Amino acid sequence: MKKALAVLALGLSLALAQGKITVWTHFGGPELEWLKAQARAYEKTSGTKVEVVEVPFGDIKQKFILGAPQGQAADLVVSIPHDWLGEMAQAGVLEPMGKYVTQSYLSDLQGVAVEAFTFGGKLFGLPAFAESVALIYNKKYVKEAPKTWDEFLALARQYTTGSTFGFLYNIGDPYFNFGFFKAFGADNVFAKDAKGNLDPARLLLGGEVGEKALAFIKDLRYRYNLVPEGVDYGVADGAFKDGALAMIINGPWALGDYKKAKIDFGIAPFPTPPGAKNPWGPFLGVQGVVVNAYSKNKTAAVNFAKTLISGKNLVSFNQAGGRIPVSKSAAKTLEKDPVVAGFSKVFALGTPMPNIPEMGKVWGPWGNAISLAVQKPDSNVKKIVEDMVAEIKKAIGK
Amino acid sequence: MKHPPGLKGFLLALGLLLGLLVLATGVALLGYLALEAYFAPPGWTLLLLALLVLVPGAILIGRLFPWLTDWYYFLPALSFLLVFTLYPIGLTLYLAFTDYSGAKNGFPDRSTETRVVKQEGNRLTLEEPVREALRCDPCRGEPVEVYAEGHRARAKVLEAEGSTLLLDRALPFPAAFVAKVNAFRFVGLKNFAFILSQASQALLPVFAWNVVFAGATVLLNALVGLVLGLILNNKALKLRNFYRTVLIVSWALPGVITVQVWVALLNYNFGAINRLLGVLGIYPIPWLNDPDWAKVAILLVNLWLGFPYMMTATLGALSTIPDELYEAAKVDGATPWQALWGITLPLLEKPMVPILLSSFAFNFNNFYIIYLLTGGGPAQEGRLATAQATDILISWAYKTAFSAEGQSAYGLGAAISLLIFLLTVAISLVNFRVTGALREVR
Repeated sequence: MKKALAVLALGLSLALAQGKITVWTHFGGPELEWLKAQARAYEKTSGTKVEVVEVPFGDIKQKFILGAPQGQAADLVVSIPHDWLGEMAQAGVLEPMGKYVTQSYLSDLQGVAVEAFTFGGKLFGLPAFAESVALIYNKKYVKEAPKTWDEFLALARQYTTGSTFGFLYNIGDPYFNFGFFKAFGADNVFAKDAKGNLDPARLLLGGEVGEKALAFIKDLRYRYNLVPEGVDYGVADGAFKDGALAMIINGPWALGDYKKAKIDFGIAPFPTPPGAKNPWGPFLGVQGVVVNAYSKNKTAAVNFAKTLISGKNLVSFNQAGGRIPVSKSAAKTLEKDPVVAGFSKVFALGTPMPNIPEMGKVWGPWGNAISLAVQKPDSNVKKIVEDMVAEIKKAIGK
Repeated sequence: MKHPPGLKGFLLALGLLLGLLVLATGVALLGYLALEAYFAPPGWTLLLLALLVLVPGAILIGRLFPWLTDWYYFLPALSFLLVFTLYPIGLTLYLAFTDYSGAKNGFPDRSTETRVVKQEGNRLTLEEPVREALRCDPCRGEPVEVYAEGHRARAKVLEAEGSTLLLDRALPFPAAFVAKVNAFRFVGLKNFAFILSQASQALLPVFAWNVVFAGATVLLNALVGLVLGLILNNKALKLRNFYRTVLIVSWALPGVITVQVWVALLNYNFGAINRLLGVLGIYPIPWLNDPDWAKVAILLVNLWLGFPYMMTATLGALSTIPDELYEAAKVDGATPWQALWGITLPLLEKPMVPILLSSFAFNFNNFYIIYLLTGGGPAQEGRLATAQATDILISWAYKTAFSAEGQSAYGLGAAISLLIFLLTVAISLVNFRVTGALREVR
């Protein structure tokens, strides 16, 4: 009896010594299974218990910022989009990672991705995979991706019939629309200063650029009659899944469902809109793993993060959900994959989404402006853009 | 000593008990902080320390005021009140006058984390020039946090020169890192000034729609509820229990789900309602896409959600009217119409007015129907992105505090909630005065 107690006590103290880490994730389905399998494997090799908790994507930032200082947040999050980085780092809840990783470890990750997870000159997370929107087409209708606007319009009109749609997308959401702003001249949301940092005082979405982009988005509804009222993400995505839609603007996160629905799809950049001087280019988003600055078990959390972000494991992650890893060695292994190849071409045109906290003040007014522009055929685009710029400037306070 | 009579006794008892609780909490917090200097005490130490003050304190006060001991049964309820009602109210009041936000939250900014290479008393030498590393200009008076494994301490910058930093106090441990604290400040009435400066784009139109929304909802729901209640109260009606059950379904189903079903039903091109109207030869109506139609949609959906409550209330009130009155009316030769105007409606007034008032107050802050049905949208020209066509005050406050304005502007959100509180109080007072609802109570 005494012996049994002693063994129990020893076991307990060992468990306490090696501790436990909690992981928050917004993954679902096969990707969640992948993460759980990784957690079990890590438990076996390190002896640290890993608890995976599902948290809805939209809640993570708020919960983490409020909960971390109180000791009520996970030790690490898999994963956050890099545009939350500035806000979370400034709130003090992210552990700077520079002291944990070596140069050779970082050299396997794409430079753009590492840059996306750098804020104020410090690395705050390990980038895992990249995403952006692209033109996804159903090969049942579209044999070859349209290369010019005229080809695109002809195809889209051909399939806009009573029972099928030629082209739909989440028209009210600025994230899906940035490509058009870029085509009409906005390289990014903010201009860069002399040091290469984004300057929140110099907004690029206003003026002629904004007017032309909004006018084009409005034309998609009222002139070309492609995207009718009432279309949102759910409607467009559902129509594509049902095989009733020829072309959609969507991202890698949706591909798992499309595969499940047995849609034979292709991926291409959106053609240059009429009258635009630059090619279309989407927001490039990088998602990565971050560690809680208030974690009681940082070493274990960082080690688990590093295991997740390794070439080999990112390949198995891609096989689980189809996301596109930013690890160079993983990308090399996956070269032949049509999705990886298709999106790599689109990424080359993209702009990394700003990761400075001021970006949080842009989304609301920007989305509002787009909704206003497509609300009625005679909306005053010039006035809408002026109001948007005024509201953003007032909120940023510069 | 006897229990002091009336309001005075009540307030005295309440004051003594609340004072005791606050004192116990305060002493416990101070004790906890004092202990923290020596070791890391577990969280429950706080509770223990509080009890150490509370129990002797309660006995002592019980000796001084013997009549108070009966009131001790209130202590658990009062402590909950203190934690979950009074504390949040106090915090909201306080935050409304600060610039507290997600980025100015009083915690260290980890993007300014800089390694300390040398430490002499209160003079630290950093790895990089202070001004750039901590991103402060001027750095004087800026609060910083200095930390090492297992230790943290706050200090203020007295002087920054090159890469050396002079702090206002010496540190009891060898420092490893220093970071700037995102301090929030007292800003006086600035939040309120900001809200009022945009009054024409947010406060005024939102307030107007809020009043219209709550008033119209109450009137519509009461009218429909009254008519249905009167019909169902007719004992000659066959199957009336069946009808009653069917009509109550919309109330019984969880609104969180049904409202989202309504969103799908009201979709401009793909919703069932516009398709049905199309069959009847009516042009599709932009239910959720047009600023004015969205208001109509909100009122209709809220009617669908709310009339069963009014119907049930009417039925309940009707059952208290004695049948003899109607029999007497019949004997006197009154028509049913005269009986309705002369007996039913006047007798319904008294029980229904408090229900209508409370319904108004509830709908005035009916966040979830707005949030779920339209999300405050659609967008309207000349308005802020946080205060769109169907936003009411509370959804505007929510959007300001938690989504737009970026970085969770809690201070501003608290200021808006305070304004809402004042407005609701004013409206309620007017309501009570006009209808005399309070006079009945006295």
